[in-house]
Amino acid sequence: MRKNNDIEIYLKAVEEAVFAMDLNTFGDTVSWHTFDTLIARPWTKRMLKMIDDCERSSLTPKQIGHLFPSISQLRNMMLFDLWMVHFSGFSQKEWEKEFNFFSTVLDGTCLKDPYAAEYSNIIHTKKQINNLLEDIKPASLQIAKRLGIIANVCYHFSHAAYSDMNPSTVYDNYGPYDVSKKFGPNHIMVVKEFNNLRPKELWPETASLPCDNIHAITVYENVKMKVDNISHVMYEGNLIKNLRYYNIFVDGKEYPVQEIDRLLDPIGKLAVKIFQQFQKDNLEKKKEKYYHQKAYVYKQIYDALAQDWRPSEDILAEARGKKPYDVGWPKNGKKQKELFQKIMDPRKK
Amino acid sequence: MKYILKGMGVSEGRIRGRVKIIEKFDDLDRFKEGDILVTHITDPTMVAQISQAAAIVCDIGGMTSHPSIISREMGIPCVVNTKEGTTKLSDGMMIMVDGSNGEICEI
Repeated sequence: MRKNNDIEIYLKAVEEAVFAMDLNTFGDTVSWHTFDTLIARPWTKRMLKMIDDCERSSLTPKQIGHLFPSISQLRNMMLFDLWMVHFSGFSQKEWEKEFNFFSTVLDGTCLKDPYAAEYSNIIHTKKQINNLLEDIKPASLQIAKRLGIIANVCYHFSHAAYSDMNPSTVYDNYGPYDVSKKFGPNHIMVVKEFNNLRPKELWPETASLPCDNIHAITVYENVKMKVDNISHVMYEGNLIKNLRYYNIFVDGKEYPVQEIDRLLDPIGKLAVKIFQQFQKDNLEKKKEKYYHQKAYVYKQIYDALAQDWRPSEDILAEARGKKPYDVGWPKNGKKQKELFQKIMDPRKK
Repeated sequence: MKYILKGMGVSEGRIRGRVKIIEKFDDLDRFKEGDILVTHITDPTMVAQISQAAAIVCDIGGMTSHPSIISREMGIPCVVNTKEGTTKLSDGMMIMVDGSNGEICEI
């Protein structure tokens, strides 16, 4: 079982990340505290079974980590699902079981800083970094602008297809990797991944999109990069002026950046279409879609366990006819943090 | 230049441009490349306009909000949490956005 110190590091990291957000931006949007809370009991039951099944399987923590859409999305689920344990009626013992699962998987997948408590997102070995840099190309302002547009289009596609809560089902930034020895002082490498662009099980119309993933290998000079515990990336320094080298891979193959618009146009158009479609849905349909989007994050794990990834009928029924949950966030920032700590830390009961 | 309002600067750089307020999907067609996108908060319907925007200004948001993340990726200035950007600014107004200190001035 995890030591208290480990739990403290995690709780501090997640609290810092949650309260760096402007809670006003949640407004009427689907959010974990309003929608996830409604299904706390059956979802936690499902999670506990999945953890048992993973332990019985031959899957290693590292393999499980790479079955998540991204490491940032894995950390997001750690927040959402530990939050739910508080409302589930299960005990501290079950909370610790979930905490232990997520921590072990993060430890097995990240080379350091598993909770992004030091604002890094490091999973690539030196050998992998060298391989990624093998065919790196000099960048230009025009190329850097295209990379920015890739991020804009794919990020918004993720927001549309997987909800406001799960953008890292598509988008994650790995790094910063110090590559000063190869390129000179103050150079970092960042791996920008845009995955899961064809979730046909959620949105059948995405089956016709031209690719499933785009990966950008980038080398910046005089740029600082941070990733927090719940997936948010923060850069200091201009990413357009300071991009020095790059490479683009589409579905695993090197791809000419000059032709990227051919891929981005249909992705961007579909992002608008499916977001509008979701907005038009009534509350019951929205809840059902959101629980499928949430379950989709675990799809590859359920596939590996040869089980159905979709939320079960008892999960959907639990939320049916219910209004979004009102956590009752106090207006005072200190009291907001106290409420958050009470929910997230079962030792505080 | 006349100071108008201040928010949180979340993506560095200073730029001048014409305001285009986006309140609903119908507003999007009139957006031109180089306009400054002013909205309550960005969403996926604005993806094409964000690609053309010179800067983004939002009423709400923080360092880790969607417009902040995307404007840094695109290297364009962004100011969020202005509280009243969509009410104090108006379509066609020429402004200067400073994404470092969060200040917005009329030119």
